[in-house]
Amino acid sequence: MRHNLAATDLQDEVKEALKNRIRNRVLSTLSRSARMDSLRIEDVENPDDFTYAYWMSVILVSGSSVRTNLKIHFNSDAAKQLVGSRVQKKSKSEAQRVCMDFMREQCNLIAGSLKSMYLSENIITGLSLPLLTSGFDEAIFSDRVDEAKNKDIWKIVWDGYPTGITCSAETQILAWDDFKNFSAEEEEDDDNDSDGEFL
Amino acid sequence: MSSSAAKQNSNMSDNAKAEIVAAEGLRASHEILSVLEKCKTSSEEVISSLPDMLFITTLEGRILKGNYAAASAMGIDIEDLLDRNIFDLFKSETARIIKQSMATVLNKEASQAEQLELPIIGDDDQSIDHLWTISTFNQVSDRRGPILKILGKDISKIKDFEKKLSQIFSAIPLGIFTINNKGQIEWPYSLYSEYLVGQSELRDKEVMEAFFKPLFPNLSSTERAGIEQLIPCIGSDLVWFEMTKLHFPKQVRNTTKTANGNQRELWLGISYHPIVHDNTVEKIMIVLEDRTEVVEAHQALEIQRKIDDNRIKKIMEIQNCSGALLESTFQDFEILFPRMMEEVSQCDREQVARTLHGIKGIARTSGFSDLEHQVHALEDQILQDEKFFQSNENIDKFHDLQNEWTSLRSLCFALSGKQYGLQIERSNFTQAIDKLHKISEIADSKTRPLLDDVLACLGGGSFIEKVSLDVIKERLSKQVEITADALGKECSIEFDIANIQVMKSEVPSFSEIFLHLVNNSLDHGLEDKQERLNRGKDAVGKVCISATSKKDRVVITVKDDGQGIDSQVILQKAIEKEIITAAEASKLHENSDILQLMLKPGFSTKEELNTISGRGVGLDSVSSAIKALGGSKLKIQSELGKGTSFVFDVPNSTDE
Repeated sequence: MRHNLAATDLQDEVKEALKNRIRNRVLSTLSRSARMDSLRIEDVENPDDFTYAYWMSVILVSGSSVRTNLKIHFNSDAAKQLVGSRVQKKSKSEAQRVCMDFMREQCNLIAGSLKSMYLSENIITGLSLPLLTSGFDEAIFSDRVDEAKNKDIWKIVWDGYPTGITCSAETQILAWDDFKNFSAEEEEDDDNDSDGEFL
Repeated sequence: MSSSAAKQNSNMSDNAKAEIVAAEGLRASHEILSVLEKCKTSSEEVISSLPDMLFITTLEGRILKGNYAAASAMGIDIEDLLDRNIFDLFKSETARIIKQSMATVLNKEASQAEQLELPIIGDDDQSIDHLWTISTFNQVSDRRGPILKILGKDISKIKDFEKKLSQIFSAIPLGIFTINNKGQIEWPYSLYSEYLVGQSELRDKEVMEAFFKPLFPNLSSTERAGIEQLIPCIGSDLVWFEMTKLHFPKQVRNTTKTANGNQRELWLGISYHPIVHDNTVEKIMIVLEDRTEVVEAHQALEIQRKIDDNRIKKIMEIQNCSGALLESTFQDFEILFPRMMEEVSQCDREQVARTLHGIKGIARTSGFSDLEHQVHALEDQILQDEKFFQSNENIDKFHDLQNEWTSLRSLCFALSGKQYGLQIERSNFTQAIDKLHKISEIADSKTRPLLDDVLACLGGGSFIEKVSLDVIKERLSKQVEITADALGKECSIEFDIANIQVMKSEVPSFSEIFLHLVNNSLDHGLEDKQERLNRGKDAVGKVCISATSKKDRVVITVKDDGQGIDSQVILQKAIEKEIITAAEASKLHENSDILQLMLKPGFSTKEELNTISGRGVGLDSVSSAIKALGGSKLKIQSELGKGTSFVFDVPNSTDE
């Protein structure tokens, strides 16, 4: 069926599939690491806005066919909830450090999951180092619309914390031919066994 | 291995290679990313820990980024700063001002910032003064609208300091301000400056226009030229300033208007202080001092000094005038002045001029120079101006003239102790003054000033100051020495007057009396040296002045050991000078009665007058002076060949 589609439609379909699969990978990775079942995806009210949270962890998944820039915007409170009881007996500064390491590692785990996802489609990518930064730089860099990039912003919220965290993924497909057979459905998440036990 | 398996292996190998290549490409940048991340973290820490508030906001005030100081000011955690509104920091009225400034800055160049001072709402709703610097923020594009960078600096401590400084400035009764190189008055300045300059809101006003130019009419040409160089001095070297400063005005009269429109005149002292950096005058601090009271006191002192000088001059003129002449002068003036005023009221130019001429002649004879010149000037004006009486100002000149005479008369009264026409006895006057003085001592604080005024009116209270009669010794001794030398005689003088006090104001009268009597003794009484030796006397003649206190009187004797007075010669001279007729002379038998003829006006036994005696006014004037002191009749006792005594008594002023 896909072979009969026009090129533009195909691209839209791939973009939509890619968006869903990235969202799901992020959700599943975080749910596993945080050991929380209530995590769920929520659309943001204004995807064109540019303020999300004070902290941001970022990683780049990149290859010759695709480049995905993933960001997780969060506040310390949100990170603390996701880390859960693992920082209960730690001092405030130590807890803060653990929370930040946790979020940076989540970025790393998600990127690994995305790499695995691409690989399952025979798309080879590599990972950058996960970066963590404070302050909010989106105001400076992100307001230009680049049609070549597929940008998706969504929230992950959980019970008792409706503010949640904000994720953004900016994907640029460099070789559309490699995505001809890109499936909308996940075949299998082969990183199921990873729970982010970095501590 | 089948071909398909081989192909698969080959594909896997290709994939692995591609993955390795991709991973290596990313890994190459890992190190750089790691360093950049650390840099970014450091930068964020620097920004976050800035002591001043930093906001990056939209035009609507939505905060996109901020630091700890900003979050602290808003009372929230730094992580909660995003999406808050910066206008929440301000009260609604001040928020409007900062909104306007944010809009204004968009119309400026990117590098230009807008600065303003606005308070924020602090804890307990306290206002905290801040200096805000607003500028546009460089961004990739402004698709979502402009972004602004806002820096807020807490200047409350500076403002507090400024306020305290201002309070100190306000408390100092000095005008202190600095002038910048544009010649403008800078803030802060002492608030007293506004009062002294006579203008409010001096900030940024040009000092020449606001202060110096209105003073120009009161400045000398040198001062005007000097002050024109004030502003050019800023930027010059210190030596030039110090030289130029010599011509700046140091004291000026500043006439300004008060709030209610009245004119106010202040005398200002001005000093100029350079604020120097690297020997260059950067600013000039001007200090104004209100010297009005000092100048007015000085002026009043000058006026008083002139009055005193004039008064002394008049006193000297009066003292140089004999009692008889004064008496006749005042008798004439009592007639002439009322007549003059009557003629003035009738605008009779000719008669007034004539009367003035008469007054002038009498004033000249009496030696009253001021009165004479005043009359002379008025006389000239009347003769030159036919319409002289049409001017009220001219009429006032007659009142001035009358005042001059009144002033002379008052002085005479003060000096002689009697006012012409009232005939107050000197002794009564002295007693009255003495009693007033005693009342003044026991009077309360309210009454005393009034009594002091009364005493001042009656002669400055100098009557009540007492001195020992001894004060005349030196002058008389000197006088005896000079006179004896002039006459070729030798004479010593002895005093026995140490325990006697007299009113200070009476000293000149006593001096006059003693001088006359001693001169009389030297000239008429004492023989020359040879004659004395021939008569078996000491070569040196002797004059003795003694005073003895007897209850409320003091008996004073001036005695010499000269040749004595031949009463028959006196009688003969009196007949010759028509002081007494022969018939009257025949009735005089007692020696003492005959000697009293010497006290008659015009009596002199000398054929030729000299500078010492002989004008016929000697003993006559002594007798008048004694009377003026409240004294008794001068008694003359004489014994031929042995000497003469002059005895009189005056009221006793000696303290018990």
